[in-house]
Amino acid sequence: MKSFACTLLVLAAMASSAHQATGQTFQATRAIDETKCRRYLFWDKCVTVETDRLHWTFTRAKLGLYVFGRTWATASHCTHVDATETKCLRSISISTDPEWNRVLLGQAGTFLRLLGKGGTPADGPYHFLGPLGVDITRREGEWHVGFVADSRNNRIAVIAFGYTCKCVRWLGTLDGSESGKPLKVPHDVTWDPADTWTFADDRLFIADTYNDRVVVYQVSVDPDAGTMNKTYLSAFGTTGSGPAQLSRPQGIRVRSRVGRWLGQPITWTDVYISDTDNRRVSIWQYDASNSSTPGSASAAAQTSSIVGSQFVGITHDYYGDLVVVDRARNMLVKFGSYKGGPFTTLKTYGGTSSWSTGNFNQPTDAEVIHHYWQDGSGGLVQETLPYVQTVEQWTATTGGQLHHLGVDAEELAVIPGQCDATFTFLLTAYGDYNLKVKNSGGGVVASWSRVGVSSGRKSEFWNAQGHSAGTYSYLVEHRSAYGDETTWRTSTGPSFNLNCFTVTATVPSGINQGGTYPIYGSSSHPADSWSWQKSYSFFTTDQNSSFYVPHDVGTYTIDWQLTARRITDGAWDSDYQSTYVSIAPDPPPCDVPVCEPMSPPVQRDTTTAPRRIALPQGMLPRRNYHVGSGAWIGRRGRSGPVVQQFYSFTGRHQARAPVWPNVIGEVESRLEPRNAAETGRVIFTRRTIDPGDAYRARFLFNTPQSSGLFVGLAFDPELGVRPGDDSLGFDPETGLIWLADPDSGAIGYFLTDVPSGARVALRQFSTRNDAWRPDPVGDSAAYAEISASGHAFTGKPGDVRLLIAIGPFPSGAKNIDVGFVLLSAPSLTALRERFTTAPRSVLSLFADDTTLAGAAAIKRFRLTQAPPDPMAPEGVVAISPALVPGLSSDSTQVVGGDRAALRDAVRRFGITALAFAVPDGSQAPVKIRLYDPAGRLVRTLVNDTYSSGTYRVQWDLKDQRGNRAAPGVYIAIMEAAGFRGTTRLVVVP
Amino acid sequence: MSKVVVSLVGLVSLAIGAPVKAHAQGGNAESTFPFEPIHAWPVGLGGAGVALVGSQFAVLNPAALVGERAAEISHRASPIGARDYAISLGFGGLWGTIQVAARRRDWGEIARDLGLNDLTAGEQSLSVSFARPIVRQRVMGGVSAGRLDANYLGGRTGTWAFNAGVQAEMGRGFTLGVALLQAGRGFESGSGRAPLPTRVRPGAAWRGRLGRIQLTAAADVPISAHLDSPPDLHTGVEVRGNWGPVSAATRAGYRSLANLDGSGSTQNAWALGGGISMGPVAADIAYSFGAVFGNDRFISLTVRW
Repeated sequence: MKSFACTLLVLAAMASSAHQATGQTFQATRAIDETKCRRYLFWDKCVTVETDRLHWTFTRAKLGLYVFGRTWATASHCTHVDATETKCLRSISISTDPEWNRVLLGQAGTFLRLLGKGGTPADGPYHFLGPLGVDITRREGEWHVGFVADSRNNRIAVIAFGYTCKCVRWLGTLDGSESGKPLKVPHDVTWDPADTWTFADDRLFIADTYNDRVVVYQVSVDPDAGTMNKTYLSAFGTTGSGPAQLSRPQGIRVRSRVGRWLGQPITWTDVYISDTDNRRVSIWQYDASNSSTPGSASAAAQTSSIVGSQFVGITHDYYGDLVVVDRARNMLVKFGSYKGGPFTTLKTYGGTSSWSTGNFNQPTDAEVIHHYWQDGSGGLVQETLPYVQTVEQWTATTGGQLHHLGVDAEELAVIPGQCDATFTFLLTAYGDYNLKVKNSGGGVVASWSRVGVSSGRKSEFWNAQGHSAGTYSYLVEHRSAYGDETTWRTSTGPSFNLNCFTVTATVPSGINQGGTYPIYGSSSHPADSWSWQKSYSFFTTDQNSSFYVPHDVGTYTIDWQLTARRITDGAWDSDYQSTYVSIAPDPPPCDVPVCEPMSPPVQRDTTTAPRRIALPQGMLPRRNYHVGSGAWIGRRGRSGPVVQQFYSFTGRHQARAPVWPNVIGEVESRLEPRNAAETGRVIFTRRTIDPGDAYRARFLFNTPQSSGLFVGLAFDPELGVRPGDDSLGFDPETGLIWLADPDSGAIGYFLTDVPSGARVALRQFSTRNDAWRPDPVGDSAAYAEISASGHAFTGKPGDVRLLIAIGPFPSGAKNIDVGFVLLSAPSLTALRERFTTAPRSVLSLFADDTTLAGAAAIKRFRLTQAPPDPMAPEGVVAISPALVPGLSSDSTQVVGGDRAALRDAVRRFGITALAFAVPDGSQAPVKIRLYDPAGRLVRTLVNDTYSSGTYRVQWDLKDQRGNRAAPGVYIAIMEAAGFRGTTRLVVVP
Repeated sequence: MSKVVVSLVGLVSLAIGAPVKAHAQGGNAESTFPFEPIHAWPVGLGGAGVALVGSQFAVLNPAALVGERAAEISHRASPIGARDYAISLGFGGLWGTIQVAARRRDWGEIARDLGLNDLTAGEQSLSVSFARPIVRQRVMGGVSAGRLDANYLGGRTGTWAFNAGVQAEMGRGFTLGVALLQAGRGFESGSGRAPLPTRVRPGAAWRGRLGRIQLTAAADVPISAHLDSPPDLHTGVEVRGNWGPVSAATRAGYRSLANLDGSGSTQNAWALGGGISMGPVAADIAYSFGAVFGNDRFISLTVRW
């Protein structure tokens, strides 16, 4: 209703022609303080300007419709302005903010919205870099169209603004590429309507500042459809100071005059240009109707060059006089309108760099709008109001150049870690920057300097190791990299906290001989829960410890990981170090110049199938070679048994990951499969006998399909003796395999018990092809191979063992017991003597081992928590029950130091794995579901059929939808063949 | 009134927006922190009660506190090894009603399977609620703020949660209620923030009388702010007889909980309960059964003055 009444009043006013121009009297009221940017409405009743806000109030609200007094924008850095005629609510104001790369819109004097953000054309519409000049159409109707000189993006953005919808539409851009030379930092744009009713065939004149020219387009826009058609018309102006030349034009306006020539109506299009670096204003006449050279322009007149001037924004007042903003001299200069005659200065306003009344401080743009109001007698008055845009106070003091304020650091953000931080910001234009990190005392503790950086999002990473905990802040100093801005300007980022906790592992860096070496742990704060890992396997929980390096020829790396927890707040930190070991071969062990040639330890065996044990001739092999000992399970291959599983006695399994128990010397030890694909496990039990120790190796097959299976033992010189100094041999007459060491004596083994009917073969075996050597040889090839390759450790390619194969077994075989005796003696001679007194069968010694017999069986379904293992694969894998306390009656109980390590691991990683057992002889569908404490199903973790065995399932902490589970307790329920078990999982923060 | 409505709408918007943001940013599932009521009265009604009046229902709608002066203690024994305890103290006056409530869930020795008897987990909260009439004793409003802390195997995390709600008496024994529950930023974890299970919980209740017998029926439909699962349903009925200062009640309830696996399936559970009150003292008991974990038992003691 008010709008309607207003419209009536305006129409009535126009009809009565009661116009009264009073706008020539500029009276700035006051400036309150030094904010970065000010927009002044110079009028007699403009009263307030607030800090960091453009906020002004009319004490005489005209027609009761102008609702000024709203906040215009927060912390704006606006520089250019334009506005439509302020009739009622139909006024649109537009201003640009090159500091923050946005456009500000107002309606009826009230701030409407911010538009856009920093970005390049690749970021899509509504991204600006240093928007400067702006113009807006002045037609009645729903739509106004704004043209924004997006200077650093070298384009003109065309945007439509809707009155009633208060919406905007991106219509397109103009980049001058049709001229053969793209726009370069255009500073201003002006609109020249073809008619007053449509948006068709209007012209745009662009001040192509850094190309020293004006580019002319013809555009037709359809805001309803959101489209724009553009036609490049022409470009005029060249670089220089001559009459038809330009130098860095920064402002442009167009005014068409209608007259008669030779009796015919004719339209002159005058183009007014702030020829900034020539310190003058130029007028060109654009001839759109010239049929021979359409769109041609000619320089018509120029003001004289005014020393000290810097003409930028330019506009007309109500009478058509030219109002030009002189930024350097802090004034407005009004020139008489050009009508073909002289171009003279009529008047100046301001002139003092001051915020006081009547003065300007670095003005940048001006716009004169028509304004209607009701005077004291009720008559409607049309008034001309100039809006003058000024720059911030501080630029006056620092000498900053406004059009280079487009270089800025925006959207400062920091992502702090415990002891590091990543700083990000958007550099809005080609520039230099310094990023400085300050501590709470203001001291700079880190900085980065970058020069000539292209615009876009930047980041810097700060490793804050060595810095104390506390609050830090940072700032980005930036300036134009075009070389025309010497003063750094600053953008301040948010403060952040660091709480550094540093754990340091000190380990030997290079080792060239065997021995025991210390390792030390230290931390920046008091810490506990120390944990060392040696080559990815748990090593010790002692803060300081030592490790043994055998005198083995070879080069390898030991990777260390030290982890500890800060006592005060439970923060964790880890350090990673490496120890490089390179041990050269010993000099020849003999005193004579030429060593004794190598001899084969076993005789050549040309048979291809396992057979009764064949005892090759025992001979002393070369010293100082050892590979590994263990038990194995295999299947029949084309040329003999093929090893499928190999369990190292000494914990050096091929896969490196699990630490296997040291079988020899233990009362009971188990060697377990690593995954479901492996078919069996081995349980070793020891009994002490008179000359030594008797062992029973019980091989347990998971699969009833045992047909063709072999089992066996492998021995090599490493076992039980100081590595690197021993000898391997075999007495074919007795079957005794022995190891001899000059320092520690000799150890011997011999088989005593094998299953009835089983065939036994002794072979030389290489793991290079994970099979029997294709051509079993005595020594030379095998041992020379070891020597040449330097692979002295178990599990490496080139590994060779003496291997006993027992089998194959018929289908249905389940438990295979093998007995053997281990002897030790001070010398090889004494060993052979003890062998003569050793029993030839030992399995009867284990007849009372009922526990072991029962332990082998899994009698029922079971679900339980599983210890954390960061190295464990996700999903379901078959495991040993010994790895999970409580999983079955024969599982290992955690004791002593292992318990402490397990506790630390559980506290750190939570309980996120389950173990379940399927009883022997069965095969059952198993379903394990996870629920939250309220009873909602979170995830179906297992849903498959499993044969007898024990399994581990690692939860990847995802729910069924793939979201990461929140910290908390979750309930696992297992259902299998009538069994229902429950346990709990814990996800730690 | 308009301020309350505006505030509630704002809170709802905030609640819907915040978790969605958290959900989208981190891909984190909802927190499992315990929020469901453990007072035996609402449990016996299947967890319904956003439109019922009484301090027992304050956890479902802080507006339920209006006019209440009561102290409560509740206990829940769960087959999953958790023990829940809750205690609250509320005092009302002309200025409104304020209640302080504390709650703890103790998971006990949670790593016992692994042979570790000294590792525990627990969750606890402390909240303050305020409620007062908004419009002529017919529309009540309430807000609450709570501090939530959890300790899982020594790892601690915490956050704040906010509730707001209104209840309106519609006449003929009908009451409508709506509450915004568990709004907040969520728990911080290694992968970002785990959003709280924010719910917009509308509900209705009816109370009528048949001679000495008082009948109550209630139903709630909590709607998740950001899960695409169907809303839950809580509903229950109560039959109460009065004999002078003594009254006894029996309750039956049903609840459905939408699973979080995206299948749209639900978990269903039933509840039976009863209560007896003698003057200012009331004791309630409830059993929840049919749930996937087995039967829960809830016991509560309430003193009013």
